[in-house]
Amino acid sequence: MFLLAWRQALLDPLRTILTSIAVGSVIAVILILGGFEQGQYYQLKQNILNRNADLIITQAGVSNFIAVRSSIPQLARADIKAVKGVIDAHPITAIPIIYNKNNVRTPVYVLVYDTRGGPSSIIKGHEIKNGRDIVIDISLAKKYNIKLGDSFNVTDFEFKVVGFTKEAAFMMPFAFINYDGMIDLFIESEIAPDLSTFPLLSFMLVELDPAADKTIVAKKIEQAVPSIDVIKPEQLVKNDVNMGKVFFKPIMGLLVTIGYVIGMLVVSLIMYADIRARIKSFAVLKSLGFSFGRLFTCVIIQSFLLLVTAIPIGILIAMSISIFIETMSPVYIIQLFEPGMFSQTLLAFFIFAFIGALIPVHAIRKTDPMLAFQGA
Amino acid sequence: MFRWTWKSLFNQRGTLIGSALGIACTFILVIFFDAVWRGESIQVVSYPNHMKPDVWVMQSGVGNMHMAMSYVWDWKADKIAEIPGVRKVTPILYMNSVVKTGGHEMFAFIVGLTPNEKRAGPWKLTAGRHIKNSLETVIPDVLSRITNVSIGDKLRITDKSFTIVGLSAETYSSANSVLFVPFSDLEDILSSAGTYSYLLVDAEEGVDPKRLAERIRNNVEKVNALTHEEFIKNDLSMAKQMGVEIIIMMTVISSALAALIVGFTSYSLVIRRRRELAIIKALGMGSVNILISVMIQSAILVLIGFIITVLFSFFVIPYIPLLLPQLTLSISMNAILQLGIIALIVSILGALIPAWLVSRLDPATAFHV
Amino acid sequence: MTGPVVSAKNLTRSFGSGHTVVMAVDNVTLDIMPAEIVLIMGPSGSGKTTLLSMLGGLLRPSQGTIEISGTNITALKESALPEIRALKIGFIFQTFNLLDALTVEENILFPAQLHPGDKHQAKRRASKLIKQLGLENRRTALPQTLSGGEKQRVAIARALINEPKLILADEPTGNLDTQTGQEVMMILQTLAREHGYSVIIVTHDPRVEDIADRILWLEDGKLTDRKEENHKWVKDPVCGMHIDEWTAKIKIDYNNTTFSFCSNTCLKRFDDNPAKYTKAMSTNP
Repeated sequence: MFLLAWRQALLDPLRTILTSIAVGSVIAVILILGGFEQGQYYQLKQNILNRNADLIITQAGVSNFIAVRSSIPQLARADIKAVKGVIDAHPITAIPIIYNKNNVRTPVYVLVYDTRGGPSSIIKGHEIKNGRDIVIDISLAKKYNIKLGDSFNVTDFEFKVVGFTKEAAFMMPFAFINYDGMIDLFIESEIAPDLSTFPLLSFMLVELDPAADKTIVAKKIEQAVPSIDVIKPEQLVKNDVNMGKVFFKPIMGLLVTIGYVIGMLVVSLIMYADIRARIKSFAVLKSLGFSFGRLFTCVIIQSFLLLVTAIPIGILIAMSISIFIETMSPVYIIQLFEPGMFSQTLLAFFIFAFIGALIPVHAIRKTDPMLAFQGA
Repeated sequence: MFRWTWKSLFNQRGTLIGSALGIACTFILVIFFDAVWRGESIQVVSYPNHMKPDVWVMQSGVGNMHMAMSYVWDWKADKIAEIPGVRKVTPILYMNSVVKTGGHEMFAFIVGLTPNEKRAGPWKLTAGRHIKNSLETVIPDVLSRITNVSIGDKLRITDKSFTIVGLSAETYSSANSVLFVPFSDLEDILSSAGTYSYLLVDAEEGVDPKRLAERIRNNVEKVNALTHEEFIKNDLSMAKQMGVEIIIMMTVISSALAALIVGFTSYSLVIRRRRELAIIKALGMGSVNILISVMIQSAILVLIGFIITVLFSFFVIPYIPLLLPQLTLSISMNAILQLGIIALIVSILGALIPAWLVSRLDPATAFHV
Repeated sequence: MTGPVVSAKNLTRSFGSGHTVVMAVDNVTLDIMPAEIVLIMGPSGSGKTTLLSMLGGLLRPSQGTIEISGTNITALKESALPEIRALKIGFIFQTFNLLDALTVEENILFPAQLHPGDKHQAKRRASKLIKQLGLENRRTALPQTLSGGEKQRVAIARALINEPKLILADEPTGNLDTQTGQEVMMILQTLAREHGYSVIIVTHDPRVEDIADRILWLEDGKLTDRKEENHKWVKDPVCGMHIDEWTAKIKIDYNNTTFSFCSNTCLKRFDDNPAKYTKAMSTNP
């Protein structure tokens, strides 16, 4: 039966290619949607892990990192450093800004860092050396055609682009400056009219003695500075990813569901059309003594063969498109091969292949073997 | 010939319905993407759009509200109030942050209102009342449904706990729900004493907002003043540019998929009717006629798929938010028209392979057993 | 002496109900002995294919019983019939019905998967059949590259692969030219004479009569025996075509002579001017 199904696929290669591309395209649609969603979660995760902290300190009551307002007392650094087990506490400040050039606006998440928490890698250029330097995400450079050495204006303040990195989350590219830059920016552009009231410190990245127990040290820090929360990076990752899910899931879920419906329809349509076209062959096989079970097995094999050819095509299409998207707009990462999403997509299509094989069952069952006696 | 095309297409009802549904689904995916994107974008500007002051005043260098941060000294509001042509200045504080309620966390636009200020507050309350006292909040009614909280329940913003006193309509979106809190509480959270975020400036009757904005810009240092239309345009373009690449790519893939389904169906029909087509050729019908027949077949399929999509767009999509309140969908005629053009291209592309097959068809096949 | 390979008793098959009922096969009783070639002839729509389908277990009779090699197939459940068809009956069709996707050898071997024997035995049987039927050079060819005669030989080999006792052939020469049809007839005759297969052939082709042991005539669902000598070839007085007076349906008596016609068109022409045609017959009989 496998031989028949296999040869049937080879008999009309154009049709086989067409059907495989059709099913492959649906697989690609779902992989890209799923990959986009997973990419968002990946960026949310990396955005925290890239800060390279053993513990992260937030304002009390703040349990997220991205797109939140957190303000911790400036003098807390000394108290935190004084806790046993803490090697150092590195300040970072998050400033969401809207970058506007030629009336094209992009939200940018500016991270201000001092001794740790800067760009995880520099793709081109170098790290920040003085207060006027800025390292920006490559997607911003691409979008605005910014080159190393170009100016980068935040409100009225002019930074100089010295490096490109690849860090973004929540569809927002990141930019990195140091505290000198931030203070100049605040003063010159009136972002903070009164520095004494403006939150200079959003988070603190705590570096621990390798021998120290994270939980114990976290408790001690919270006791030492009551107005803050100490969160393990993995917990912060979980919180941000969960919030990302609240944001993306309803939309992505519905889009993926539509994708699945299309997938099921396409597989079913192909199987139905194919079996209808070969109904006489099934009549002949019935007359030759092939039972319904065997014929159904043949259809299932055919349906699965279709999938086996469609999956690599789908992956190829999805890879090409995701490379295209990531190249055109590097702010996105499409994680096609995230194990959970990838296996779920493949599993869904294997179920569709089975359902697709069930669609023509009725036609096969009621096929009259006497059809074999009819002319062409 | 057209009659034969029509009949042979409708003779295979299962295939026809399956294909038309397949095409419709891919078109629906395109429309749905667009509807989500437009809906979210519109919702993002819902608050400023409903406020409709004549002029928006913000910090210099800032030109919109979505995801922006703006600080304007409080004395600047007084200065603006004295500018001729200004009827009223309503200050608000604004913050973009995560809020927690009912065990859920979500993004929100938080608007701080000065005491007894209704000008900048919720425009449609569906339950409860406006905020009066400290640590009270009005949240979107949809948010209360999703998080299963109601009036009297608590909502946290950073370390402050607010009591929900009212529910408002038209203020929810998955990207940013609009919440209202007392000015002083938000000022505490922002540590922004002495500053406002935006000023809503209402002009006196007969005053041209464009000129008034210009006057404000000229008279007050380091502020930006934009007419409501300019401000909304900026905000909308900001909202729309997020995710636009994904929308374009998905439209392209979905359209290609629709073309493939059309191609597959037309191809299957041609293959199945190869002998009949050969007979038609043998009877003297030219290839051009048969090609036209294939094109018509493909056009009919696409048309049915398109009609299903249009019906779905107007009669089903608007009701999806009733089931999924976290979605805001907006169907635009523009998107439908664009889809019409895509459909036309799809029907042509879908007919290419079967057309090629027809052109190669040997009329002698008619004599084969 | 062994018993009949096929034994059908009082077979009846009707279609429709009430006043629209059609008796396709009406109370037919039939025994086919081993190595016997039986021809079932009859006009179009006489029920030949219906009878063949019932004998092959493809169609259940309304009444009556069929035994194939001693097994009453009418008493079997639907699910048991495929095995009977696979192992006890070989089908040969007018349109060959080969599987386009498979090569000659694969087509022949395809039903062998339903045989309990092992694969190697089946392969040996297939090779033997390929050789016997002169298909050695076409072993790996696809059906679309074969001639009509080759296709039918492949179909015969496929019918024989599971070594059934009974071959049912529906118009096996219907799509073949004279010489190729002749070859196929010879193969069928050899199968019966040398290998002991029982062969039932449904056909319109009078050439097949030459190899038949018995000719049965089915008309309006009723089966009658027909001896070969019952043929009486006469000429249609209008078009001159040779027709069998025994089976001709369109006849008239004119001047105490019976005239048979191939069609109503010839009959009408005759009616319009009988003298013209009777005169022509007398001068050019």
